Amino acid sequence: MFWLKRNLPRLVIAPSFGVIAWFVYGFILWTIYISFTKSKLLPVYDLWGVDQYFRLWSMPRWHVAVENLFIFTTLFIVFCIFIGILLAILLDQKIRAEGFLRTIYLYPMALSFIVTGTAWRWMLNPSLGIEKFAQDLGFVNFTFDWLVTPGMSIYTIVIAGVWQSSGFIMAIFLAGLRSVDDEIIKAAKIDGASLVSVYTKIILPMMRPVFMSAIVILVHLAIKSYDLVIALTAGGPGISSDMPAVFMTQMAFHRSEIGLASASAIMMFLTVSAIVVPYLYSELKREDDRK
Amino acid sequence: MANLKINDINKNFGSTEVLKGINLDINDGDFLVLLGPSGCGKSTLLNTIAGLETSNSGEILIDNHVVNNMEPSDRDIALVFQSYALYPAMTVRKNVTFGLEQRKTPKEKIESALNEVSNLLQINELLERKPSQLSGGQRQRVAMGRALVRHPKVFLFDEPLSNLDAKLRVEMRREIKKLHKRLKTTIVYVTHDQTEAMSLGTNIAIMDQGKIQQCDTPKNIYNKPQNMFVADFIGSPSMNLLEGDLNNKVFTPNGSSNVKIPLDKYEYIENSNTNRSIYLGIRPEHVYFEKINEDCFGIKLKSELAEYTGHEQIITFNFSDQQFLGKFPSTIDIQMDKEFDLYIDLKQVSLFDKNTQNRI
Amino acid sequence: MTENNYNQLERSAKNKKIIFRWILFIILGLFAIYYIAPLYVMIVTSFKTMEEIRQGNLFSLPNTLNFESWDIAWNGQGFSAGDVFIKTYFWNSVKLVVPAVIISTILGAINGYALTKWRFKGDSYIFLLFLFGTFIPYQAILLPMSRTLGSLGISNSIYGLILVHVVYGLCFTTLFCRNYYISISNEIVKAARIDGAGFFKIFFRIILPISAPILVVTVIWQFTMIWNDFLFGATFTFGKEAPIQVALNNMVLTSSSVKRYNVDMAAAIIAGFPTLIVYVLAGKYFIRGLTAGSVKG
Repeated sequence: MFWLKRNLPRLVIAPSFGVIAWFVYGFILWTIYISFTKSKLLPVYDLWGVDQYFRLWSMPRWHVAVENLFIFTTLFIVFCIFIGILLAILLDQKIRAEGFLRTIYLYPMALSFIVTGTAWRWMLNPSLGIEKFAQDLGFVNFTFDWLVTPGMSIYTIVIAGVWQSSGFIMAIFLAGLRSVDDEIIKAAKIDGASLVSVYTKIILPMMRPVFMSAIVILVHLAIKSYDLVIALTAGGPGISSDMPAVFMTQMAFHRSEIGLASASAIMMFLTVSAIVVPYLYSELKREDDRK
Repeated sequence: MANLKINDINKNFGSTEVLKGINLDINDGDFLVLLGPSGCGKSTLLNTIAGLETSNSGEILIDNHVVNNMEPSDRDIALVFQSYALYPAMTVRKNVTFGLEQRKTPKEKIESALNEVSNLLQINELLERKPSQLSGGQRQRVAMGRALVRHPKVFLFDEPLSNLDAKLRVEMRREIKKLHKRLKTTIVYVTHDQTEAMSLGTNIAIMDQGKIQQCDTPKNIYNKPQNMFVADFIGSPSMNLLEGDLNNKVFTPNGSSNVKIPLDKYEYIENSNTNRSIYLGIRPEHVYFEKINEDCFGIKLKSELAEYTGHEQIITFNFSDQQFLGKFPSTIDIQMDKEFDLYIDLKQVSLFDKNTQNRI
Repeated sequence: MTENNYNQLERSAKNKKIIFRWILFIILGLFAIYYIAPLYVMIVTSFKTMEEIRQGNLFSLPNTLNFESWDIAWNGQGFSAGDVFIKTYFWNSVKLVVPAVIISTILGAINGYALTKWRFKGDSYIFLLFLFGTFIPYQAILLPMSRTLGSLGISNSIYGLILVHVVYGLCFTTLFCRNYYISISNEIVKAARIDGAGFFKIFFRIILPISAPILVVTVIWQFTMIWNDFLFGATFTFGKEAPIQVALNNMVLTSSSVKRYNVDMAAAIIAGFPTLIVYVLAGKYFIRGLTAGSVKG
């Protein structure tokens, strides 16, 4: 009886922990294992070595996907952070409509990627969307058919993705800006710093941890982006806006190549880990130091 | 260096009046302390002088120039904050020189000013460190360095010692006093600590509820408080205040009709009515066990409580059910629940009108 | 400085302030347009007829409020085969969201409580595992999960989705609740233990009543994540069992002969409406959830 009481916390955690251990880590291990096999439609448990990975990296389609991921992630991060900081600084200027504007900048986060993708698909529709709108306004030669242009379709995903997520980056930077001690601003005023200087020389340098968090979150979002791609371009035209997440699903559930798909999934997993693990490590160390 | 005039400053926050008709005249080289309890308006007044707050009416003149509508950085003032407000992402060196750089001061001048201040405040070894790597006392000195380096006309201090531990506070207090003696700067210093105020200031302005209760030298504030708020606020423990009636310059405390204290030698203000209800104030240290001069008046009181504070002891007596404190050297042995012959030095007495609470 | 110079300084400072404010508002306004435009377009398009859409432009208002496309989006057109509409799938999502949110939130709260108020050996490592679980790309578990659901007999069903969302939501809910409970003083629990209260009693009588802030955040977060999910829905269900985002995507992608943009837009608004409403009403809790969970890592 006493044993029960003493170990109750552990017993309570155990089911959840067990679930996570199995469904998260156990499954990842399974996927890793399968990525080392010849599995096609059904899992085959004989080890095949790293050949699936060789196959993966020799496929042009995978190269397109990885390239797209790189382009998308870079632009996504740059624009989200730039817009996020800009809006946060502007909103920090004690504006009456701040709450209202904040709601407007952030609401896209509440929508699903599918809804976002659907809306932007419509906006970017070559014959009926922005292109037609601009032409009607008189810019007769205006074209905006990125959505259906193989080389450009990836950038439409950037536009929609930034639209959806920049508000969130703004929110965390705004919280960061607001956490700056008021007296530091006063001291800067007395020192004669212009508003621009106050931000560029004093406040933004203090925002390093927020930057780190923002980048980690955005990278994470970028690597996971599946829903948005499906809804906006379905990976097309053709495979020109393919991304690793889309590639994986295709291979796993439509091409009966679960070994290959597992390899691609593990590549994604490793990429995320490479960024998240050092970040978590440094964060937890800081927490420990603070104690 | 400059003088500072504050003319009739009023400030409201919404419907709350925070500063009511403040008038102060501070001479070049003065060290004025704004002293008062929390919420009295002293920090607001300081911020108004600095230009971080605007007043609703009145004028502020630095060096005989009206500065009301000028930006803080144009007023030629410097402010040392309670939390030091050092720029976390910059080194000490950059923290100190930032203001000069913003004013486009030539490099050599910046270097020489920095050297001067570093030597004065002994922060040379700290120059390449970041604020997070400094102790509280070191941060304080850097904050002062940042203020000093610009040779401003007026120095403002906003409770700079509140965040330090007691021992450090006493040390830094002495440092500030030495600095003032050496540099002869005009200083306005806000604090709620009366010991700090009394030891640092050439003048003290005691504030309560947005008004200046008394602006005077520390000596006068201590010995001749102008109203009961000042009398009670200054001094530890506070001044004894006995309620009673004054009749033809003779004071009878409430509840002790047989005690008649002659107050004909007291310096009444002109045309003062000498027949009214008053409070008689006498500080615990002016209560003695023997007659030390001819102006002493004898009373018999019973001791109730003793508090030993090191080199002194504070004894609580019962004066017709009013609390009466006396301060004595701790070398004397004083027993409790015993009646003693005590003597009040009438030369040190302060009288206040019961209703207006002002000195009469 | 002379009096004149002082006045000049004053005036130029004031002018600069006014110009600055105007630039501020213009920039903020332009961005507001960027963010609002798609929503505006969706709403406006959903009320137009296809004629109006072809003849007009993206931003023009409809001539009248035509609800036909809304009806079609919700109820379909009554075809026996190949009809696409949202109604069934809306309710599928509802049947999914309610249990999944409740279960994952309660479990998250108890886990957070156990991990912070009852320290035991290895508890930080266990938390770390939960924390890392919020970052994993789900592609790494899709295949094994699909097989597991199949062998449990709940593939292509709402129950399967509930399981999936509870399992992976557990990482987030535990993270949120743990970060919240860690800032609640341990003294309360110690006092209760001295009074003789046990693990569950303390949780239900003392901790839970003061958990309102984090429960709201957790519920809103989970609701949004699960309602907006597509990946799990598309991978583990199809046809009639699919949740709403999957249905929306199917509807939009149907390459039937006539593309009905107005119906697509109406369907999108219906699909986005619940989370949007939650955001408008309880937005600040939503934001608090995003920042608290993520920024602290």
